[in-house]
Amino acid sequence: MAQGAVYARIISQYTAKGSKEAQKDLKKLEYQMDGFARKAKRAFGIATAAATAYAIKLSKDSVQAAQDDIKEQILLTTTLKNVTNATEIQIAAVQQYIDKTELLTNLQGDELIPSFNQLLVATGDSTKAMLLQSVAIDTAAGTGKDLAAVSAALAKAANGNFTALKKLVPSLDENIIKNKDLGAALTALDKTYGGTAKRLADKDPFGKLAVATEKFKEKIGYALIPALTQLVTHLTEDVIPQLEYWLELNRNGIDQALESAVGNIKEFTKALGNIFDYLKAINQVLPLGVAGYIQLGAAIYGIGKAIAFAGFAIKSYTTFQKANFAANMANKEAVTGLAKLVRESNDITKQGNFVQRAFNKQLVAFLTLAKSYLIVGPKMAYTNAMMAGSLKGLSGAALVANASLKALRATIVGAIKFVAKYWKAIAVLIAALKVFDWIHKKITGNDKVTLSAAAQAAENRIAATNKLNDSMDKALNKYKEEQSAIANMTQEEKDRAKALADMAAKQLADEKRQAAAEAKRASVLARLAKLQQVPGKGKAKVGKLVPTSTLEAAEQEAINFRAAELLLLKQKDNAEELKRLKALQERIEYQKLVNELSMRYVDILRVLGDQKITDDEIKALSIGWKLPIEAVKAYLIQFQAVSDGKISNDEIENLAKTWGSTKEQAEKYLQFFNYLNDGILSDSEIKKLMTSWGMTEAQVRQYADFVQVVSDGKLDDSEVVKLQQKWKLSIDEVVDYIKKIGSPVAYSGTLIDPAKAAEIGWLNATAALQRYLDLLKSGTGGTITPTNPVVPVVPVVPVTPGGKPEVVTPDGLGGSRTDSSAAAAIAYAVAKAAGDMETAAKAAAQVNPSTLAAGESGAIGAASIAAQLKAAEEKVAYAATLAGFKEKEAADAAAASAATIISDAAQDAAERARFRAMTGTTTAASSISGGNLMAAPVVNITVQGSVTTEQDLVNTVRNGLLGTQYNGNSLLLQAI
Amino acid sequence: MSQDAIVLTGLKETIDALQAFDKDAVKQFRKVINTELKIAKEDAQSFVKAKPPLSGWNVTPARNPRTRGGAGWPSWDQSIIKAGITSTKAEGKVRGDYTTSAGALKNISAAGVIYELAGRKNKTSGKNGFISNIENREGDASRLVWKSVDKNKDRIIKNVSEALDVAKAKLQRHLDARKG
Repeated sequence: MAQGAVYARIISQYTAKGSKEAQKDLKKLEYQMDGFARKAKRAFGIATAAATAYAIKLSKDSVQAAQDDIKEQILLTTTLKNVTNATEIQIAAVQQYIDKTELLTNLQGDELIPSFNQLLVATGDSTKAMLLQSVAIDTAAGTGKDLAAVSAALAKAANGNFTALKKLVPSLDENIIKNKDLGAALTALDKTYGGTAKRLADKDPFGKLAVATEKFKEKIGYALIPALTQLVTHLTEDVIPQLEYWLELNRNGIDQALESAVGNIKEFTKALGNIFDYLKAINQVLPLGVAGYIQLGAAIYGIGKAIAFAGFAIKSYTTFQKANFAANMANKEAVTGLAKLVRESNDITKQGNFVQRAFNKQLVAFLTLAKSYLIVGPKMAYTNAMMAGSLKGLSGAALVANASLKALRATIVGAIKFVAKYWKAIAVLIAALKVFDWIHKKITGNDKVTLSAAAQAAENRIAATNKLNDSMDKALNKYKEEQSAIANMTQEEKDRAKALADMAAKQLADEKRQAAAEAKRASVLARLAKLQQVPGKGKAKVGKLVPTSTLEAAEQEAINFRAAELLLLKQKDNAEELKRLKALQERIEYQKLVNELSMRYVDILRVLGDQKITDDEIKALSIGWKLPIEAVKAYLIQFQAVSDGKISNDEIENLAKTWGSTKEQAEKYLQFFNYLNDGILSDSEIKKLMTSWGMTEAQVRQYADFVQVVSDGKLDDSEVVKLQQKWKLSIDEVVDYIKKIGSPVAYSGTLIDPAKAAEIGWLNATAALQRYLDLLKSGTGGTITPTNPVVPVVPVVPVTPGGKPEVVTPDGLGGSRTDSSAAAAIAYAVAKAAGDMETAAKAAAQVNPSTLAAGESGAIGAASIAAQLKAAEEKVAYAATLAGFKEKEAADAAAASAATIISDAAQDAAERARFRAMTGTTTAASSISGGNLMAAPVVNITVQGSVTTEQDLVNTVRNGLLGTQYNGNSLLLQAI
Repeated sequence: MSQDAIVLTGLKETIDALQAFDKDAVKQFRKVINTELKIAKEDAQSFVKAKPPLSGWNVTPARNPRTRGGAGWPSWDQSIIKAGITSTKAEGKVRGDYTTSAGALKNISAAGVIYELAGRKNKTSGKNGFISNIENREGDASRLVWKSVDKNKDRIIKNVSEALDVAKAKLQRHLDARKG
């Protein structure tokens, strides 16, 4: 549809194209789903695969682009060389022109090169082609038409056909079209559209980008092609043989490999499941949204963060370790300090001990004094001992407390120093511990996040995969068992099992196929049922479209289903159906041929019934057979030659003379024609011909095909094409073959060059037939020449009333041999007319067949006799009719004569009186002449003056007659 | 503008199949379609007036026909517009409902398209009231090919459907005959 045109659709149809489009839509949908899947994959971060795919696609596209470019370049180069004999430099110049034009106009090479080629072929000059193309490009841009269409129109215009250009650009001046002025047309187009393409291209950076990208791809492709070629060579010569070799060597290890593969897959899936579980846990604890992909992405992000944090924690720990080490180191100092303190403390302790001792001394002195005062005896001793022990314990406790104090002091000092130095790291560690604690609560607490649908689906997939793993395990085990069982089976059992398995597989495949066919049928029926809704009867429309039908629903369904079935057959390219149709068509063709031959046979018998072939008969056959006269003549000659099933030397010579060919050509042709006369070339006939002419079967069939085509004396293009296609011949070879056969043909068509057609034409056909007929007449033509001419034409039988017909032998090919036969035929007819059937039968027995028919089969002879008898009957009937007519004529004449004699005198007088009253009205003299009017009903009337109507004529004759009576003369022929 | 069109089911298949049995029947069917399209085309052409629908519509060819407005406005030339109205049986593009065309009218001249469609989408009057003027004088949009389709649709549907039914019936008879 032209751009911007209004397109009013009236009739629409559902076609295969429609269903293909539907399939395309489904594929598109599938592709879109694939695209979604690809996008999802990318969301999971598998961008590498996409990048690889893109790289492969880019490579593939590039190689494809380069290959296309190479094809286009070859096309361009070939055309340039063929059309203009261009040199390499000229070709390079044109290629440069194409490249520049691409960049200037944003048109790709695959548009420009075919367009240029078209114009080049039309003009035969690359410069003119460039000029025309520049106009075409601008015109295409200006009109919005396709460059190819505009180029085609300009190419036609360059050859004088402006119709397409006018249709393309209706505004083109009529005078330009009328005068076929290409220059003016180009000027007009350039004036209107000149520079449009470039201006549009300049405003279309994306177009330029597309061209540049295509060029880029081509360049990459050119670079990749050698590498790919090398790769292909490597694959075919090295890799594939090695792979095959490896497979051969490792065939026995395939079972193990399978088992291993299953195990690996299983392990991998489990690992995947574990990963998923972890991801799921992360996903659950991260309240980042509802979309599964986002959650999972966030989970991965969280993992990254957690790992980063773990790294940080480890780092912190390391730092802590370092800090600890440093603290230890620092502790030494502290310990030294502490030692000093301890020493000082010891000093204090010493002082304490000194105080204690002093205290003890004082205490002892006191106790002694007390003893001296309070305790006497052992009590005093016991008390002293107890006191001494307590004091000793107190002293130990004081020592321990002293040590503890020292340790505490050291710890406090070290901690203070550590905290002072590493307080940041500690703070971070505390924070991290808090985070871990928070995560732990989320995992184990009640505030879990619900799984999203996508995450749930992923979990289900993992579960399904686990299930699959189990089934794979089972399958593998089963396989092992089967293998084990097979290994233990005998060969017979193995064969039986294999046969059973094959049968089961076949049955399954059949069932599937049947189910698919049923489903398809149901679908087609449903669709048809839907489409057959008739508007106005409460049925639904199909969209906005109204299917209509006036047929009964059942009939409509049957037809539509058949049509759909045919469509399906067509789509499946059903070879069997095509073969059957072809066979049917061939059968019809064969039947037509047989019918035609039968018809011709009957016609020929009819024509030869009188042993004469007149020009009129040939013309009649020509019309009846729809053949040229020459072809009819040729066919008659051939028919005569082979009609007895034997081919004599004379017949061969006659045909050779007729054609002006060699005797061998004529003999070969006649033999083939003889065998082909029944329309079939049987195997036995083929063998005979092979033996006779030293030909192969193919050669015999080829020759027979040609004889069949030329035997009717005419040749048309369809026959030429048929022969060409069947025998893979060129037109010249077909012509040469026909020449080789020697049978002239009347060619009608355009494929064969007229000069060559003349070589196989009917140049001397008429003369040839005349020669043949002369031979036929002179009786020296061999078996087909009637040496004893038979009954010629049916005799004329003058009949006297009441008498018997008299036989007169006419001229022609008749002769004495058939005189008696002719008389017998007439006798038969007369007897039959008289009802004397016995005499008729006897007379019929005396009738002989014609000379030509006598040499034929009994049926033809009988046909000849029947024809003679029929002709005789017709003649006798004619003679009888003629005699009856003459008898009646004589009786009428006698009656008229009598009526004249008894005419009334009074009536005559009255008539004369009436005429007298009319005297003077006759202005024109008329006359009647003739012989004896009563005896011979021939009257010549000469009318003088003008007579315009029949009534005038009657009046004039009447007046003439009355005038004759009035002047007293008798009514005689010479009266006036 | 009419939205409905006759949708023939199994047209191509029927005709292709019938071609093998009865070429005359195929010819007869095609003749019906051709005749109907011709009538519709001639009808559409008859809607093109000799004079422009609005007095301001220039009748001399535009200096630059690609520029809209002023000098670029396509001229009113009855012969060009008529010549631009053609019938076609090209299948063309497959539509969303999986149908292709089996017969259509085309209106391709610029002036013809403007005359056909002016005011179809944009109901508001354009510069100098072009749309309202043309609607007042010539009626609503769909003034040439669509008008013809609307006018002739019922007859075409009837005749073509009947012809197709006849063709299908003939095909069925041939198929039945083949069954023996």
